[in-house]
Amino acid sequence: MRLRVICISLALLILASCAGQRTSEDRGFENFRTGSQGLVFQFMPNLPPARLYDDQDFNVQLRVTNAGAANAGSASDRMYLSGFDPSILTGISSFGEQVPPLEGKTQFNIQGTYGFVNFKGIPRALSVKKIDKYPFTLVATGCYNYQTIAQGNVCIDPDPFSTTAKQKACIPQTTSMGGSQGGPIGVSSVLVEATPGRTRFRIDVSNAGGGIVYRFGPEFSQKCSPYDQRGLQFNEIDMVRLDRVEVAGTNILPSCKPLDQGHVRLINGRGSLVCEYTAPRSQAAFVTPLLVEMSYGYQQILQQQVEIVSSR
Amino acid sequence: MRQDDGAYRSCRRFVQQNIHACVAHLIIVTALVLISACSGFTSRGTPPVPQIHVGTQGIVANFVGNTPPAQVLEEGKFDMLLELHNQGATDVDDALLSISTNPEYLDISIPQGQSQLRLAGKSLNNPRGDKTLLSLKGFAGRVSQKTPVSVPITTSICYPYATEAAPVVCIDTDPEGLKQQRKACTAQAVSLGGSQGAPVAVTRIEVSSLPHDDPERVIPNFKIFIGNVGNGEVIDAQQVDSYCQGRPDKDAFNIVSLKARLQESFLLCDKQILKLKSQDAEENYVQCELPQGIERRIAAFSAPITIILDYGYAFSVTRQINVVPRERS
Repeated sequence: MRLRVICISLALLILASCAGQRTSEDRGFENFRTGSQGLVFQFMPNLPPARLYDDQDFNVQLRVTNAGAANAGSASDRMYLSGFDPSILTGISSFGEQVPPLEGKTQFNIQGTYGFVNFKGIPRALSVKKIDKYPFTLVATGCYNYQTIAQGNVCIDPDPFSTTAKQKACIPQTTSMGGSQGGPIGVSSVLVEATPGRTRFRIDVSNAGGGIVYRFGPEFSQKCSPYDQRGLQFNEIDMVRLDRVEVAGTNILPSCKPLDQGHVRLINGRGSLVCEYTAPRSQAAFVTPLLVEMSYGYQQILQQQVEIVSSR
Repeated sequence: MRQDDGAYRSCRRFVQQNIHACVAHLIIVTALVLISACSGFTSRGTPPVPQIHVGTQGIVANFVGNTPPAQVLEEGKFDMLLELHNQGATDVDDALLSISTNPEYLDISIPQGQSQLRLAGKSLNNPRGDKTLLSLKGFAGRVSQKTPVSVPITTSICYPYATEAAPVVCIDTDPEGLKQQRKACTAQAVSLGGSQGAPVAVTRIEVSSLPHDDPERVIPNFKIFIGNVGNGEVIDAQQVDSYCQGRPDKDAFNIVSLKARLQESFLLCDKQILKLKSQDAEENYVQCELPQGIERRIAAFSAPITIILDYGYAFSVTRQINVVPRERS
């Protein structure tokens, strides 16, 4: 009897340990391409302070977290401070500060990485200008290039209206991609429309990051600066470059439309395009991954009220 | 005796039953007191900055207590205590005090050397401004009639004063909205409420950005509204003495000179001397601009525009005294 109890306990213990091991394995394959944020900027507490005297240094520290699944921190990824009178607050460069190189989330690091950007300004004496206090809205503008890779499974049925009573592996239908693939721009859904020999995909793209999306490239990141002479123009914002659309190992990007010089245009934060995949009618229905790669520039803005008070 | 015993027991039972409720109430009340005390501490966490450029008065004169008396016997003496307080934010080195009355009935003299006063305005080191008390002696003359005579005493203080206003305005370098960027601020009218530690105040500023010849610049333009918000008279700063001496020039009233500065440059204004037309501040404005403009490449920002108004001001306070005749045989 005692032996039986010991055996059962041992078996339960082994089973429990196995279950635990499987969970940790699952964690190893956790999908890291989730979330609708790229770089996340945050003012560190009291940097800047809500109020400071004009004989104190004006220190600003921003924590930059790469919460998305792409790497960031190239030379054109920069952070700028604006909103203040440069004749009162001096020493803050209009060229901004570079965002430190930050690796995106991976299957081995699902938290992302973070770094800091520092600014130091020197207030001029307010008494010279006969001012008691100077309140202003400090605007921190982050400009960076980013990439989203959206992946989901779709059903390809080259002979959707077949009259033969063949069991099909899948039925083409709308696939929801959740709209969050580890970047502020994501594929929200893919509508699959099967016709004989040809499958059409309507890919819906959306801006879920709360910032402004603009054309990819360092020249546009330069225009994203609040100190740029011209700034981003109407035809440069809400443009997402489509790099690749792959179905069953075939790049179907050339079939996608409407594209404006390879870009999807977003209207009110949403855009869509239609791509086509051709398969011989003799092929049976099958499930295959759909891969969408997009590149873009992204502008994120942060504001804080600051007051400089005269010390004399 | 048994009845008393019963009453005592029921009373004791009542106390025992309610003691827990009493303790609970006491704990709640104590906790509430502690919480309110703590929240008070938090709100006091940031020390207040003394407000210097607030208020709508300059130097204010007031008779103290019951001086001068409501009535005085003829050929009698009386005392007057006059308080002078610089409630504004400008230092005054040469305020002129004058007293006017009917010399037939009253004779009031200002002590030697006290007709010219120096009163510092509010500052961080002197947040209330200078205050002084003057003791004046008066003498009532003879009244020829049998009924009391009502005689006004008017004390005037005349002084040169300045208003320094530095409202923060929005300089919008992209008024057309061509740059696709969220702005730190938007150019709009700034209402100042007319309280800048002086009797003449900038009441409102309308801000706009005009095109510059250089397409890479904009011209900030300001419509500055000014008003007399104090209880006295605005006079030309050059005519302060003559006003208090009772011989002001007819063109000496409501004259204000204006200088305005943005960043390190003085603004170019359509007039440097403004004659306040009426109490209606809508009519009293000066239009100024920064001719060299501001670069468009700088995003919209908040900046103080420093406005300095120079003028003279006169404040008067009047009291009536009844000079009562003595009974004559």
